[in-house]
Amino acid sequence: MTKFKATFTFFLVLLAVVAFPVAGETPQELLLRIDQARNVVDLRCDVTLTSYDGEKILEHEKLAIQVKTTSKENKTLVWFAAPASVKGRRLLMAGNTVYLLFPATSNPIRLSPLQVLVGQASNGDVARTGFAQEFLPQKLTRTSLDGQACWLFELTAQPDRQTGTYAKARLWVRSKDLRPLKAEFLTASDELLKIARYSDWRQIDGKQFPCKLVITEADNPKRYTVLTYSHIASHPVPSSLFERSALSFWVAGGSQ
Amino acid sequence: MKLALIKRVFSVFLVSTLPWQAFGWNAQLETEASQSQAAVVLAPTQPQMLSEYSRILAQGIFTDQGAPTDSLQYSVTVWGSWDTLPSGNPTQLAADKGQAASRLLQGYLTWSPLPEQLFFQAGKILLSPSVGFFRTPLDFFAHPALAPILDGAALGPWQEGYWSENTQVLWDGGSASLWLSPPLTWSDNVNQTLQYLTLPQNFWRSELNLSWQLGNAGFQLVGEGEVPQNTCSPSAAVVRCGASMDAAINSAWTIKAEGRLDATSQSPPATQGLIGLAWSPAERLSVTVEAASDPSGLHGFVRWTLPVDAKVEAILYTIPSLEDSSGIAGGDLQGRYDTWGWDAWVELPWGAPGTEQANTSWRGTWGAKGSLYF
Repeated sequence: MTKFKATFTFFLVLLAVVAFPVAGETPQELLLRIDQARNVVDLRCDVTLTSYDGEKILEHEKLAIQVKTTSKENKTLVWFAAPASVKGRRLLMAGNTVYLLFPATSNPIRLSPLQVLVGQASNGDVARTGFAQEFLPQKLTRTSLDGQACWLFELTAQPDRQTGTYAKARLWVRSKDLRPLKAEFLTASDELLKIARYSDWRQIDGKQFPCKLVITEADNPKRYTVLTYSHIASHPVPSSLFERSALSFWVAGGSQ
Repeated sequence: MKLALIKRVFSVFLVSTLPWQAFGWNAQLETEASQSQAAVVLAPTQPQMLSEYSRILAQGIFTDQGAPTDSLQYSVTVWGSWDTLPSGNPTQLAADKGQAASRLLQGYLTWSPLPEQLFFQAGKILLSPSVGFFRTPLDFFAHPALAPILDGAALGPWQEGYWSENTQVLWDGGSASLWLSPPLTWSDNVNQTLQYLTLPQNFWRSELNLSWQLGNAGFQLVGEGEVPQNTCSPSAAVVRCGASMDAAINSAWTIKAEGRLDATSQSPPATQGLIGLAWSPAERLSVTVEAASDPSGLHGFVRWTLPVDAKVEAILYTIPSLEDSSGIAGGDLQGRYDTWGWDAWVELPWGAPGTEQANTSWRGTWGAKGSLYF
């Protein structure tokens, strides 16, 4: 009986350690803390996307991004700076609300979030500033990746995003500093779609920010997209700018 | 012969971009060749006649925009074209005798005393509040399309604005704007010169727009009033009002609806409306379905966009009348690359007894287009 109690207690403690990394902290709270550790408030940056098929460059795009950080869901403005065929387009993303404004027109067009506009990456890949707003943790375990101790989150899309680009995700987060190292994005039927790796971590506005993201297609590892972030800064802007009718007034700053 | 002409036109346009590029402007050049054929039966006892015409159209658009200071922005869009059939009607100008046209499409200054919240704009401004695709009921007035539209859309990629002033207030969750446009007309002699700057504006116009966002839905209320330039009588005034909504149901489905009411003292009120939905089951794949009621009747619209490869897309569309068996079907295969693009397209109207197509046993238009981006 004593042995049973000891074993039971051991498993209870183990469960507590695995599920609640800090006393009383749920996996969702931990995920939120991971996001906050790298979330530059009202982020403004330039993004270069280069898509490869082996050695061959398929696409090369330059974007300027302005994010409005909110507690519910971040809002993002995207300015297409290159190539010439898409230059001047403006995109507004706020959850499932997506509007695109073509240059020399005045009526923003509503799109669905699944309509990809930025080369081989999805809109969400470019604009994602955190996981907690998009996903709910289903399971949290300890594991290791490339010899580093990690938390492994198994995530499913938030209820209002079930039909989104990715229904599920697996996220590896380095335990010692809560840096996401790798994410796998899957369909509802567990088909692996894309693998993302985060690197080139830099200190920006007191936060650790990954300046390089490599997204590989699961069914063809030769095809991958490299997102490089530059001119990163916290640039507060009013929420009023993140509206359909405000798109034509927004001129990207940064290096544009 | 035609190929040589196309090459020559394209070369001239290419050279014309150089000074614009020197000032850092963006430019887009397009050259399009199209052919239309119709088999017409004038009377039941007469043989079928074949009517055909071709068209070569070269267009260039030059744009520049920027923000010299935090509170001041500018935007300029200039358009030029050379067209063997500027009227779109083959009886009005023989092919291979091109006509040049150019205009300032937009050119305005925006001053923002409260950055990102209050804006005053003055100049040639484009106004298009509609959320519709193949019909745009809330666009109460618009200049004619500058060139044939290849994908069934109501609006072309380039549109011409009106000389006007616009005041816009933005807040978290919505905006309001008041737009005022004066008449601008002139004598025929002067018209020859001013046509390069603007089309005449024959009305006093004002438009009030209120828009707001509720969750994933956007709403608009729009009211417009117009009075002819030379008439102060209230009986000549036209008042229009309308409302629109568009919303995302989830990541794959979006819906839209808009309606409009026109009121004058000389005729009974008239209404127009549009409803639609769009479905994007996968990346770059979408189906748009709309239905609209307007003075020309009740029409449907289905547009299917699907990727052929990473750079090539196919667009298939049809605009059937919902009152008889007439309509239009078309397709546009388009490739878009970093600095150039191409289109190959076909459009086939079909007729029904009692419509203008009734005597046409067959009709079609097809063409190809090359684009360069700078």
